[in-house]
Amino acid sequence: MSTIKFNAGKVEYDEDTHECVPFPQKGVVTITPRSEEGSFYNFNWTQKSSEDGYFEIQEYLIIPGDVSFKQVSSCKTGRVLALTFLSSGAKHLFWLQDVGDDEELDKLTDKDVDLVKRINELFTPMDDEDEDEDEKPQKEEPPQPATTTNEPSTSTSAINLPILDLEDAFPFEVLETHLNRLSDKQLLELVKDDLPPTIGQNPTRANIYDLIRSGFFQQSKANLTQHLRNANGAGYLLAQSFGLEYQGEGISNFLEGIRKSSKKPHEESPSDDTTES
Amino acid sequence: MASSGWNTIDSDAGVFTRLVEKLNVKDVQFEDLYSIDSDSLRALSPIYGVIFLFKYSAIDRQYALDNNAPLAGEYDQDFQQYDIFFANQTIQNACATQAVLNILLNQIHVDVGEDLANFKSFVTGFDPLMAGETISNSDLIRSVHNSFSTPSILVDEDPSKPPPDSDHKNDGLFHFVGYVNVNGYIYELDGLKDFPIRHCSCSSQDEFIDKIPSVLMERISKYKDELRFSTLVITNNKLKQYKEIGDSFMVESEINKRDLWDREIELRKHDYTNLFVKIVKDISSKSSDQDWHVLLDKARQKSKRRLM
Repeated sequence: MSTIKFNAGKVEYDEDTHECVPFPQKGVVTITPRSEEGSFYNFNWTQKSSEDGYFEIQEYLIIPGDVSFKQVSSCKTGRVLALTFLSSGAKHLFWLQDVGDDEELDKLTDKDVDLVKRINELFTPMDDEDEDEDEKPQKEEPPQPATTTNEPSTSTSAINLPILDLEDAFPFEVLETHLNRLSDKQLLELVKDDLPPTIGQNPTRANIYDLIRSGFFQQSKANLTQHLRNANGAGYLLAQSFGLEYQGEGISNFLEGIRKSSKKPHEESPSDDTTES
Repeated sequence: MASSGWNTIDSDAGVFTRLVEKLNVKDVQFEDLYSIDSDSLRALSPIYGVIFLFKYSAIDRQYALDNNAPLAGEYDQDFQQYDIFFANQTIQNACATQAVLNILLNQIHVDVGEDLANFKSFVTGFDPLMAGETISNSDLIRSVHNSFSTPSILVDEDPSKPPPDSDHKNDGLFHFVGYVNVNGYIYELDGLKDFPIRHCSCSSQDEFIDKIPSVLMERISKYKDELRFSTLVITNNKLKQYKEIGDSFMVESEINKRDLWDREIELRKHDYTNLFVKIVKDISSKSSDQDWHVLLDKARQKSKRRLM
């Protein structure tokens, strides 16, 4: 996979006034595959000219599927492209600095259209929607083979799609299905220490389900999602506070920590990588 | 210190009522106003004030940049001469409590209790910013406020994190503005503005109930169709009122309402993260590698659909 390069300047976007404020400096965006991480990319913006000898550089790590790259249609005074990180919501804007249309300032040239298309192809995750995806499809292998050193033994597919929300993995229905399989005694044993006082005094199955269905429980789940997605060290603190093995930041790693910890005490085995319950 | 230590609380009639009760304010209750019209207001009277809660939006920022001008009405720079209490909002998380105090400390017919009365006399003569700072620094008000907050799992571990610029539901900033009848006018008390804002003349409870809907509607009309808002009124303790007149049906209804408030406040104050993680652990411990894998793959597909 070759490197993609194009001339672009930085733009700051004010979400409230919906105004793009372009910076006049010339710059260049370079997109290169990250050799050590398989399908990830580096997205770098480098300043080309400078009056004070200081050249600003911005670097972003792109995980395909986690970004969108498209034109900001509301900007009519130039061709502005937005790189948006879906997991964090962070948005970075760039204005195309090669010659464009004299009349319609925001009109993308054929070259620009092609550029956006190529970048989007790059940033779209490999499509492996088929049900039996334990075998990685060979036809669209990313430029570098995915490393397996950090790969959890329980998951044979590469982390090419992020889990963006705990709700996607554990909506009420999933929790309910699981709790339905427990006896009343098992259910109580599982939840009794973590109920609010009033329900704790009278913990019926119906009460517990109502609680888990409630907005308050959803809010805790959403907060946890938010903390994990910030990926600023929160994952480490959270793994520690729940007594989990730290597997890295983010939701997938947090769940991997849960997986490892939940498998350990049951098996009492030095290697926790093969046994199934 | 002043900028930290205030948690967000839900803006809910039950939360506010219990909050001011805890501050020893006597005989006050908050009610949702579902329809902004004089009949709905009259049914809830006496009305001590109206809280307008809305999503702070582009037009508010636009006015804020334009000398912080009011959207409607006019500044009353001489408000201190008329004994109007007005404090600026200095901490986003405290904004609801600050708006509530702006209304309550302008009531002559409400017994706000010893603590708030002392507080008010202490800040008399302070400019709005100083008064706001004093609220922010009040241990009493802060601790009562925080006793209603939803726990945040990471607050203690990461105190250096900057305060959020959005509320905990990630819906952007919500802002609270109070409307009261004081000094012969309807005043708007907006903690982000420089001074109290004077609207139309108003000399009685009846007149307030007649006029406040149009003041609110004028405000709402400025936002075209984008505004998300809700309205609360501050009124008297209805349970006490119905007990006094012996309306046993309404007494029971008010008691049920309080039970529901207290139940929700308890649920709100509980952190469910442990419960959630425990259940997920249990799911994992009882899942085969294959089951677990399928579950996570489903989640990935769902997350992927979110991106489309």
